[in-house]
Amino acid sequence: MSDPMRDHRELLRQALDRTSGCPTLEALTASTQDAPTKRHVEECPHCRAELAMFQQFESAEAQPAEAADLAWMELELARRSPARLASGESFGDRVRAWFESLLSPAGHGRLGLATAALLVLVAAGVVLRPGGGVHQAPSEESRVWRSGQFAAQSPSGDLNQSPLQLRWEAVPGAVSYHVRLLEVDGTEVWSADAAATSIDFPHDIVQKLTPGRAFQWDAVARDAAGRKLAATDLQIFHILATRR
Amino acid sequence: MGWSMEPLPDEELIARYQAQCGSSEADCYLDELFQRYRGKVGLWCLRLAGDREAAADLAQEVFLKAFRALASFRGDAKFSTWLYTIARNHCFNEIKSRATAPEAPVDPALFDVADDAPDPLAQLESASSAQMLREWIASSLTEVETQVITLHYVEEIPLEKVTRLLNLVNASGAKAYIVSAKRKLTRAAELWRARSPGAR
Repeated sequence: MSDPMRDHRELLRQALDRTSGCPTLEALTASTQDAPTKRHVEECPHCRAELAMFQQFESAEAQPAEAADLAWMELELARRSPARLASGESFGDRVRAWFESLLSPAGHGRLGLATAALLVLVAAGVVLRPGGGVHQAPSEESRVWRSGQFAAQSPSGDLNQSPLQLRWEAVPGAVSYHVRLLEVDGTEVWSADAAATSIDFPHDIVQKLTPGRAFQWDAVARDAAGRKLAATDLQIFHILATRR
Repeated sequence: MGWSMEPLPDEELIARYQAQCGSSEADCYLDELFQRYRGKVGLWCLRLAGDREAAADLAQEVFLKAFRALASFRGDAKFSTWLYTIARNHCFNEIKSRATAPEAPVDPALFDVADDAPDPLAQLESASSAQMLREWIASSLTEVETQVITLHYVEEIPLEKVTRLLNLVNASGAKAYIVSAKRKLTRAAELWRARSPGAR
């Protein structure tokens, strides 16, 4: 027997998804909701679920079975300092920590084994390298990333009104541009391909560009073969909240 | 730093961090800010990840995203809602991207209870009305049932994670809420059908 609700996931998604009339999480969680927001929440399953989830995040307390794990995690997160966070290399951190432990007096026994393993890896890398040469020109892709930048023109910075389109400078040889609009946390909101050096936001995206919100965007230029020619830096724009 | 930062609101800590970015004082403001939320983000990640090592990595990624985006924080939103949005989106996206196989459907036996009734959502498709389903959900389901179906069917969070995240302590966890939600939606569909003779 199938799960009928799973079979109708798309319909459920439409019914439970955010609508253009849904207030921001900020308005939902305001200490005093205004009357239209209150009325909306009563009738909107999406907002009710969002609000309940946020309250879960805000006020959840660890159960006895979770307390020890949470205490360990808090210590672990405290150990990972902001400077370490900035590196963004948790795996690299672990590798570094592993090498540090090898160099400690207790790790000397493992040092010989690690050195031997490292030599084998280096030797294998030289022998098995495509082309067999020690020196290899950087790939097209890596050269592009170092030098292939182009300018994103707008929107950027603080805006008094919601933008209607993205604009960027032309790149010689480019036949298409892939653009992405992102939340400030990097979650993709929308993406599209354009042949010109601007693209209008579709209607449903314009509705999301509301005062008080910030977004990021970038563009990648590609040639006729689909190869990346250049990319913009990530641009941030912030739509100023209207003052009453 | 020789003074206590406890009385400072989050947004003031961020303003000072932004103003002194790169200095050791800025690091102190950042440490204080993140320290206030380690428990909340940690518990959210622990319940979704299921084990503390994976949860710590997930929480670190959340703080890393927040750290990287902190320069764009303007103070129009509360830091808590801003950080929650990052945690929510990051964790849900990670769960979706790590899912390798579709989850087994809800235990069929659990659906037997309401199977005499026609599938309420199939009837709705004939009415082409997500809006109607929206109204049924708003008027018939409890807050927890709404959360469970949103997390499971819209956000695609596996049931055992939904059970943990919402701290559901009943024997069958989130499954029971799905069954009761379906039962209520079936009832709403029957009422709608009775009131609309032209409906299938």
